[in-house]
Amino acid sequence: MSVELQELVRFHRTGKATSEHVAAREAIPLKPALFAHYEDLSALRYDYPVILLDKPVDGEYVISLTDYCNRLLRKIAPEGAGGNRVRLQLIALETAMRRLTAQVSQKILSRVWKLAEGELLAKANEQEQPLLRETWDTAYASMPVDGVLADCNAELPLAFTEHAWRAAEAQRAAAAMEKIDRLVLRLGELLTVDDNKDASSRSPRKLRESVGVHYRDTFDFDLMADMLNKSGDQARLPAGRKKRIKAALQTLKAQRFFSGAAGKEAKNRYSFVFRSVGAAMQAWYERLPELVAVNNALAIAELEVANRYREDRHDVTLGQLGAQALSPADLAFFPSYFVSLTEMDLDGAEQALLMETLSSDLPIKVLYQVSDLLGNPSPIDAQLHNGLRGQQFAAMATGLNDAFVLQVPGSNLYAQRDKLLTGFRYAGPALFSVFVTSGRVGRDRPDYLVAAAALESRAFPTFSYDPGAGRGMAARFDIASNPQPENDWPAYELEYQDNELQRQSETVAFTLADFAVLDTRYADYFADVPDDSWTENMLPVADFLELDDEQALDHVPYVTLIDEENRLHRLVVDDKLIRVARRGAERWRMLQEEGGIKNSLVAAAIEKARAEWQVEQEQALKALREELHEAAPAAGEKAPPAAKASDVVSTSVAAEVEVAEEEVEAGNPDEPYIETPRCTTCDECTAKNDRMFAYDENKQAYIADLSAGTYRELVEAAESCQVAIIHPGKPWNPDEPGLDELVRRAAALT
Amino acid sequence: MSVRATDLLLQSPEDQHTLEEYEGRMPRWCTGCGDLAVLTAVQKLCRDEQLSREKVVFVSGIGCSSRFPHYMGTYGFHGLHGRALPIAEGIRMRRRDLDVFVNTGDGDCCSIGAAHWVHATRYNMNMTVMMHDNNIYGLTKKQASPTSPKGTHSNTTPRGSDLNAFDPLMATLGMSNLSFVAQVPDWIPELLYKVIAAAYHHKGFSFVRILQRCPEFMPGRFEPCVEDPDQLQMLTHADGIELSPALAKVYRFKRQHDPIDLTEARKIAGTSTKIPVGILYRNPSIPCYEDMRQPTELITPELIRNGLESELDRFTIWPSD
Repeated sequence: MSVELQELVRFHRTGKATSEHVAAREAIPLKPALFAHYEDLSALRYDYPVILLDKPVDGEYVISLTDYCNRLLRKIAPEGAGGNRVRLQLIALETAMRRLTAQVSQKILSRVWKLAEGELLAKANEQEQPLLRETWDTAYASMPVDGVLADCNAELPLAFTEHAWRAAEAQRAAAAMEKIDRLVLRLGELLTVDDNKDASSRSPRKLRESVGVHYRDTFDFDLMADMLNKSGDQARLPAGRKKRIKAALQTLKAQRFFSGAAGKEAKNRYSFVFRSVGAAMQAWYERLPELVAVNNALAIAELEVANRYREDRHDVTLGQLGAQALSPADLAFFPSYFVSLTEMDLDGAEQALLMETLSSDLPIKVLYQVSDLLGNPSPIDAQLHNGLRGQQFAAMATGLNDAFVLQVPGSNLYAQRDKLLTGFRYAGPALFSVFVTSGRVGRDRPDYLVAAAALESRAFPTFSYDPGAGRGMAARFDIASNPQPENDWPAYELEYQDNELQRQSETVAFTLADFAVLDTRYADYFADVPDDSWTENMLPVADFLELDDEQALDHVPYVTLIDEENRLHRLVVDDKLIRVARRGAERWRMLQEEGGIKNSLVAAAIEKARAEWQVEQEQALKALREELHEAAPAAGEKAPPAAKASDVVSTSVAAEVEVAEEEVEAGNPDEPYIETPRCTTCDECTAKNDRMFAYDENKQAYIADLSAGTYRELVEAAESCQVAIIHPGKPWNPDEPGLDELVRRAAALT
Repeated sequence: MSVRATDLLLQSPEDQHTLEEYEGRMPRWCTGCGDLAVLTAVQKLCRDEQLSREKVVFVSGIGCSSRFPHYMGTYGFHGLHGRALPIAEGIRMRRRDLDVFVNTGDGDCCSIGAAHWVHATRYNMNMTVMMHDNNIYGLTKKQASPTSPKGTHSNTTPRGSDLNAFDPLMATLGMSNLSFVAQVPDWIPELLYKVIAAAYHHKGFSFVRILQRCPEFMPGRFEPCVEDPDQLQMLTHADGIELSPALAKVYRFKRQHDPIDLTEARKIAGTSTKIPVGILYRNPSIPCYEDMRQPTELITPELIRNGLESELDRFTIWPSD
């Protein structure tokens, strides 16, 4: 091992830089080489800022500024070169708005739009100004929306998720109020109809009031009242039913869960936004009796409106229908509770309460904001923080089985906007773990870049667990939104010039060590190696992590960075940070397995099945060979064909048909009978003798009692039958007169 | 869990409705009238579907068959001549919770009500329409109807009718937006029930032409078919009607016909030498007008009052100060 390598290994193992072969990281500001193209985000068109729409547009509650401008362009810019001027003018406005969003305090789209217009118009000449105004006015008029512009920063998780929650709740409230208003209206109609039957409603005074002024003298209201009170349906609602309807009506009108027409009597609608799980749970339990009352009132109202309320059954059931009987589907009717937490809020008690809540089936939606993924480096080197604490709650909540979980860095919140809504609509608890740096990490980098780097480095992967998506992890667990989810680390091509100004290209993986570069607290865990000291024993972190312990002894890991002048640097990484990266990689592999990628259990099962199949095939082949060997002397003789399954089936079907046909055979010709299934209920026979002939439960005729009539009546009924289905048979009373003639007539009918 | 516990707990076995509960007044049709068979089939359907009587309405126009609502133990509307369909459309539009049935006759539907029939087919509102076709005006004691065969002697055509009979099947199969057309005789109870049940289960305007015997004023019109099963051709299909073994034995002439095939349906209706029986056409994908016109807000008395007030205000002349 060379002296230079010994120095590098010493730093890697001890964290001490002691010679000219390694330099302290702090000496020069560096950033990951893959960041080279992302210096000025305001010049890029990407997912931020987003517009948190005041009113949903096409069912969407949020739209990125870029998507919004793209839609405007699709509406107003002609395709092809003819639309270039309009495209450039609107994209210039978008760029200005993106920059201004970070600078102004009132981040309202319409306001920022005007500010950006003013700024660009001031720079334009007099000929350009009317054209610019026309483009921008036409664009805005084609899809006028407004809302708060939210950039990717520390305020984003709360603003974005609460906005999504409000969007989901607005839909829930609309559906709930539609139901409540409908039931209130129908219950009111039941009471109105009953009130109108009251004599007081038909009094001459009431009747007079109901007629316009001009025709008051035309009617005799006393006579009219007298007539009305003597006629019509006077049946009134039973007192118990009326009382029940009134009580349900009152409860629905006074409910405080939703605001709307029927909720207008509720003076103080409940708030459902909380800053701690404890406060949310307390509110939940305080409101539970009222929730049960409203739930029961809804049930009563539905039954009453459908006229299905049965006191003997439903009084008891509703009396016992308490909080314990409510299912998540019942609770899904009511608003969910929104709780926002930060790392600072989570003391031991709150943590325990959070996990308890997520284990329940209560509709509590928790936003957990993560701002520091790596934490402070431990003062004791050997006990370096494992750097993955930001992931732990989401990972643990996944194991609770019935909680919806979404982990996403702020940079990808917009891309995961539909998942957010799914979580808020889910009829149970949900945890949304969102990372945006609070400034402790990468304070000289845009928050968006740091969040995106957390995703790329697997420090904070995106995943979702949706218990409502179906059974099994394949349906519920999703990691597809991560970059290159099939790989340990995402890798990209890096092109640069070497010292001889020749174009070079190499594939660079973005690892958890690269993410740590952004955190100035971890500066001491890197040491810069001058390019004349680079050796073959220096390996990129991703490659180094693949080495076994023995191979690792004479290698050191490095990350590829650039300085402010875009010069490449290789920095050796302290082993303590490598251990963190290794743990991060392990955690990612577990997520991959849960997400169905490189699943070791599946691979083992496939291998086992393949081995078993091979054994079976070999045995079958062996048996076939032996059979051929035995059959060889008889070769040339044709074996009888084996019985086919279809032969058996068709025989059986034919037998069934035969049986069915036998079943419909006509009755004994000597016995009187009716082909009842063919009866058309024409009343001919029953009109002749309704004791001898009767209708069955399908209102089709049969012979009910022969002794109730005569053979003559039977024959005459058969003759008059419209569809000739009565067969008289032979007479049963030899003393009946005229039998010879009747028997002759009956012969034609049998 | 998508089922509400409240619904499960409050779900209780309802009283089983019997056929008798669907009976109204005593029918006053002539004995032997085919309408009695239709009435029985419909009452049986109501019982088998366990329909709530207060959620069912029968609408009719004028004629023998239009007495139908009186004989059902449900709600009914005995309307004006030819106007059963507009009334039924109004009911359906405002009360989507009701099952709507229409009973109309060949005169009621194909003559005075023909225009309503054309547009009701086009609207495709969810209702079951039974057109009792006895080829004659029976209630008024025998006048030729549009479907009377050429040469029919009646009070209005004493020397025999001059025109070829109108063909309701061909007519309806040519209308826009149609979604269900069937034909069935009243004298085969099993088939009558199956076809009406299929019409009831179809979401849309289900038009069933029922060949109905009138022993009083058109005796002998359908008797040859009653006595000779070979005059009928059974349209069978897995998506249509399938015959029981007993019927399959009696009715020898069968034809496999997929009800989604409109061209074939027209061919059968227009060229068959036998009377086709079964479902000629069924297309469940045609949208219903009441679904398209579903109000977006709850229709409250206040909404109606405010709407009327604002309309009337447009014509009000306000006194100047």
